[in-house]
Amino acid sequence: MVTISVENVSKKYGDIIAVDDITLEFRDGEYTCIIGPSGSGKSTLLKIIAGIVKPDRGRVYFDGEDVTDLPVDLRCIGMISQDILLFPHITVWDNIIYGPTAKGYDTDIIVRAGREIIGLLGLKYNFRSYPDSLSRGSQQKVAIARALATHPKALLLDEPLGGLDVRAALDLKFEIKRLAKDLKLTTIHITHNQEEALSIADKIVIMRRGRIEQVGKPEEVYDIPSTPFVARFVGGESNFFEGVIIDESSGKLIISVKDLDLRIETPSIKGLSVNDEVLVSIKPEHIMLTKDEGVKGTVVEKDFLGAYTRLIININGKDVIVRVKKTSLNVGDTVRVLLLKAHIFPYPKEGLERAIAYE
Amino acid sequence: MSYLEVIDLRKNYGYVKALRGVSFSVDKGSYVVILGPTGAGKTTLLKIIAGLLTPDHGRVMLEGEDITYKPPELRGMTYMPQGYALFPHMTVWENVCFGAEVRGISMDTVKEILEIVGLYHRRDSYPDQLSGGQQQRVALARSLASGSKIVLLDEPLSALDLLLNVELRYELKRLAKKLELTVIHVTHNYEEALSIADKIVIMRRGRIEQVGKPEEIYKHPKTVFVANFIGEINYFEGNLHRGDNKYDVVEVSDIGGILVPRGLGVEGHVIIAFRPEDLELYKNSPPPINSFKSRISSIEFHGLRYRVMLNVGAYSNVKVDLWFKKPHVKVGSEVYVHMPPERALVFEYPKEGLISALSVE
Repeated sequence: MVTISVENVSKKYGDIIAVDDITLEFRDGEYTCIIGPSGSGKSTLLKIIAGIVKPDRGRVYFDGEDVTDLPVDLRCIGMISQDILLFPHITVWDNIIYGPTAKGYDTDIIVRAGREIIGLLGLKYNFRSYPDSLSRGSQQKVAIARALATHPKALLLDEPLGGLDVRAALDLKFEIKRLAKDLKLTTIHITHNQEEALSIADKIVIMRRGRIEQVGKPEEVYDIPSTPFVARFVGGESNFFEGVIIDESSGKLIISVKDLDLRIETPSIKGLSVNDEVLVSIKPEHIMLTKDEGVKGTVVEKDFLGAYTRLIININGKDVIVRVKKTSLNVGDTVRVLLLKAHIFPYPKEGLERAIAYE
Repeated sequence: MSYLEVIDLRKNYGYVKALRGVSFSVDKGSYVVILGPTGAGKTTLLKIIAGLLTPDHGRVMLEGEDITYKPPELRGMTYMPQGYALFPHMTVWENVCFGAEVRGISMDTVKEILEIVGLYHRRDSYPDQLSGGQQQRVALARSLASGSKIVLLDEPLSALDLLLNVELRYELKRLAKKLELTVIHVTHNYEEALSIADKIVIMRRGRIEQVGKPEEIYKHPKTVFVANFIGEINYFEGNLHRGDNKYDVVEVSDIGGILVPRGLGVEGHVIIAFRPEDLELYKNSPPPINSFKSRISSIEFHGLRYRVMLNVGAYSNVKVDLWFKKPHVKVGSEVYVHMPPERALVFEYPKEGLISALSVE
């Protein structure tokens, strides 16, 4: 219901740069997830959009109108955080209708707003009970109902599923997405859980150290990571190797991965040529196990993870993480591996460790 | 004789029955994960083993000795509570060394443990200079370096970002094995449990639902609650009757007869379930049995997998997961969904009703 944009926004806390010159647009009705490690500045950015924190520099616009100096209660937003801030001393029903009541609407309008939102969320609680009689998951649903009862144009969610049981969070995340879409809300959802983000977002923003690493659709940030950190962060766990370009011909690069004693071929990459050092990132699910083709290795670890199995394969003394759907291999078995896909980056000046560092 | 054993533990808090008769054993050097929803009694159980609570009934045995009433400090165990009580006036290094020095753990081991949790470079920092996740990693390092051979961990990875949580799981298991620790680890996160545990104990409402190896529990859950709690399932209600000599048939209204291997379930009212990754999609010529016409209502990208949602008969939310590959089907198209008989999970219809049987509360 509103297009939100931030332009060159920065915020410092003492010497720490929390948000460093960020420009972003959140389109009308779009569901955006901002992901990144703790301390990456995502919460600060959300608070700037909400009007809770004032940026040191930069502007915030709602539908083109500058709202940087507009207080939080005039921005027509609903905000949900990990700490469920329900009023403990009033009933579930009174919590839900708190917004319309505080605005001094007529009783029949308040009651209609409350019933409407209860119907929409399909809440089936004892509304005369108090919040602490509900589970955490249910309390969070009531908090969402309370936020929506004020008819916001945008929904800002700061780790809304944090602190919930994994199983309860799984169900609630799809419910939040459905609601946001039904109500055509512009939604900005912050999480450190990249799986959660990939499964519900229209658009993903990846942040680290106060800056944006990449913006794209879920499939884009997974398939075409623009930095080594994104390659590590999206999809969870990755393999990194040092490589060098040894040949270039007819639009192809040949890269030698010394640690694995193998060569890979990729389409040419702008700015990279023969003898350049590169960083090769290989996702654990992009490695195929074969009997008689590829490089030889030994299975040194095997973990059953339900829907798939994670293996560690030692190849020339180097541990490689592999994910396969099914396998009859066991620890100690010899196997050969083929690479299905790799992501190539210019070798980072700051060094590998720093380039993929979490903090 | 088991190394560590709890026998028929019961504990009430006023009217609330936190534990209603819990028994299981732990082998020396094994990694046991106690998994269950909030309120299952996991923390109470861990505190009784640690000696911080006494049970109303039952015993805790360590190498044949009854230690139910033995003071915590004489049990040779280290307990890491939820939250992380670090010494605020000591650096990271001093916090981790605190127990290690007393018990004669080498400083090399301390260094290695700090490196594994990724905080060796912060060894001179004080706890209030660290984030919550970092403090949790320090607390974990301190527990592992305490010199105790039995380590009790209450949600040790819960405050961590997902990626750190995933990466630390494997390191934690590796380190526990290397230091020959016996670990009891409490969590509500089934993925964490599957990836770390030698043995999983699933608890609910003060009772044990199932004990087994990760693969055993995932593939052969004893109850529909366990099936649903340790991963996702599609479930259908039906009636099981004897078929020919190889298969029994579960009649599901609006879908038809689903064949299951003989002897998998008892005759009568049942729930039949399939995991999303076990269902197969065919555009044409599906296997002759257990293949049903369906329509694709959505395809979602979830990172490592694609989730295809199907309408099958009256069931509108059948989930099919394709791991590590792109689907070759389109939204709106008709496909056959094949339910491999050997992958079927069959449960007697729960007496308490299905909603209550699946509830995580």
